[in-house]
Amino acid sequence: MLSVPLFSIQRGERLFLQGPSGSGKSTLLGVIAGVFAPSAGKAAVLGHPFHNITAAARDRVRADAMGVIFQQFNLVPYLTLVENVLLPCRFSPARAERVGPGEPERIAKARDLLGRLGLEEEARADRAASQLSVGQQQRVAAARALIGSPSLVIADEPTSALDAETRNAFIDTLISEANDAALLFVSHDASLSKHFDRRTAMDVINSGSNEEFAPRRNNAPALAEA
Amino acid sequence: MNLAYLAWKSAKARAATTILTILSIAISTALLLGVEKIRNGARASFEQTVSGTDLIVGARSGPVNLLLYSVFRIGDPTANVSWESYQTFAARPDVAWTVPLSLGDSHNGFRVLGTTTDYFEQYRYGAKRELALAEGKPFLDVFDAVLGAEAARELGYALGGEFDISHGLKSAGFAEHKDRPFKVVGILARTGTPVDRTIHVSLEGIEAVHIGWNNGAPPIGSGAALSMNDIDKSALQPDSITAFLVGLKSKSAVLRYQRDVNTFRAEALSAVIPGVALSQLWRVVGAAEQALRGVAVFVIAAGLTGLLTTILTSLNERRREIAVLRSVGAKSRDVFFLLVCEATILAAIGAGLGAAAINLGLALFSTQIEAVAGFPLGGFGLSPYDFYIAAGVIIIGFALGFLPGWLAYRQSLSDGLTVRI
Repeated sequence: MLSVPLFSIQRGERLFLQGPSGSGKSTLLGVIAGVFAPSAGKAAVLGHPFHNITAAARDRVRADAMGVIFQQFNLVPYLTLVENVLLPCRFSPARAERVGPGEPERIAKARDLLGRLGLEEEARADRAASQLSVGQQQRVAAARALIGSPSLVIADEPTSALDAETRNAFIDTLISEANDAALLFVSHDASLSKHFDRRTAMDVINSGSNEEFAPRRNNAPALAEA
Repeated sequence: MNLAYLAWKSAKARAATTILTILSIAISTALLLGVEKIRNGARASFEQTVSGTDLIVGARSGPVNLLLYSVFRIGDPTANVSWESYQTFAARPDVAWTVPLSLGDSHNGFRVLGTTTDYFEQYRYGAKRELALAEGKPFLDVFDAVLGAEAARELGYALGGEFDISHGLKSAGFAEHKDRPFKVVGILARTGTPVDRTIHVSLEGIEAVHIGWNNGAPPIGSGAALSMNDIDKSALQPDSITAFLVGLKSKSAVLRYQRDVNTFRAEALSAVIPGVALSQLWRVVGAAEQALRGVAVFVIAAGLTGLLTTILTSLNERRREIAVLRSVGAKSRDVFFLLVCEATILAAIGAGLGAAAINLGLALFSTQIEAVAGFPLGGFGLSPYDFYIAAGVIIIGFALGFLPGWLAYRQSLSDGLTVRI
């Protein structure tokens, strides 16, 4: 059972959440991202009462205003880099509008962002996602999470597949490119917390027992970004 | 639509299985349409072949058999009709015209029909259309021949060309009547009926070929030396014919005439009404057609099962891909429709390809198919049926997509954003 009495993140805040695997962080992130509903309590995300609205409505909030980066396998292998970056625009017209008024402008924006993340050449060649190294794939995932000025970026162990050097560069880029977005960075590695404004840990925010939590049966009155 | 684009890109990324799946659907669709087209083509062709003939009279046998050998040149007559009987029934006052038919010889696989020039005037096909000569004139002399359009084309004979005919229906090289060559005097315009594959000669021509032959054996001794000049044309009155077509002055006489033929005491004869015999024929072949259609439907079922298998086996390797799509905002119902889309797209491409292939194939190879079948096939080309079947395959593909769609939907709900494999 995952039980979170209170968890919040402010607009523009860079928050480091530390927790080993099995600590229930996937479930917490699922609730914040809107793919799971809390079984009890409240979850206000970006001003939307996630405990109270339909799954489709939560999906729309995620498409409109969130970016998610996973540990690995972030990219859809059969799409090109730019198509991967622009994927949220396929599910949110509002976000597409924020990126650019038309397809050419959006593609230019995506290339631009990929360029700032050090993938200038790859973006220009519009490589298939499967041709990239793991580090490059993570940067493409970051570009996708950041495209169209999201309000919340969730990064779930985004650096655990990277070596120490690229890891720091990746975190620095992510923090600087996040701009106004709240950044929720989750990792088991406490040493990464030095990059962030604030840090907390799963065992601090979770009052339930770690062993037997199950998705969709959690009790998570999480208050994410009021 | 976005989902269709993603579904298409995803299918394209698994090119090998996608192509094989599309192929199996295309082949099965083509098979079902092909069976149906050849069936309809054969029917249309058969219905077109004889019109304006009230009765066909031959030796006593089943109506279907009589119809097949006399008009469609399929199969062999059981016995002949004596010349006297023919004269008796041809001379009746209710008869408008008769055309005698004498079969049994062939040339290079094309049947030779002995008849009279009445054939060219009285025979009707399709919507009561008359035979027309594309070149030349009807036969006048004993050794004149008029070729059907397809026979002339395939044999490469022009007006004035000479050829021999062989006894029996086997191809050339078997008991040929080499000493009596026939000359091409006319070539008929194409009709789309077995007439196209027939060589027409006079009844006397058939008789002349067989002078000196006994019991189907070639002439021995002096007979073999018989030259064309020795043949006395007045002695060429045939003893018998294979069958004859009858046109009556009044339709109301048909049943009476038929009864008189069937009860004729001097010889065992049958008279059949072409339309009635045809419907009997359809009843006979109907069962075989149903069986063929059944097989084709099962092949389609197999093709669509292949589609389902392909998509279901891809589901596990696509869990991460689906989690990514969910993370960028795809609703779980989008995941469902993504897979439905994929099934529909593959079924649609397969059905379209199959329909196009069978239509193209039949258009390109209709001559070869007709040569094998022995009769022309009509009515090819896109038909509403093609669209119904293609639409049916697409709709079933769409419906089958619900299963992987639902499984992926369930999976995506429990996976959320993290896939544990």
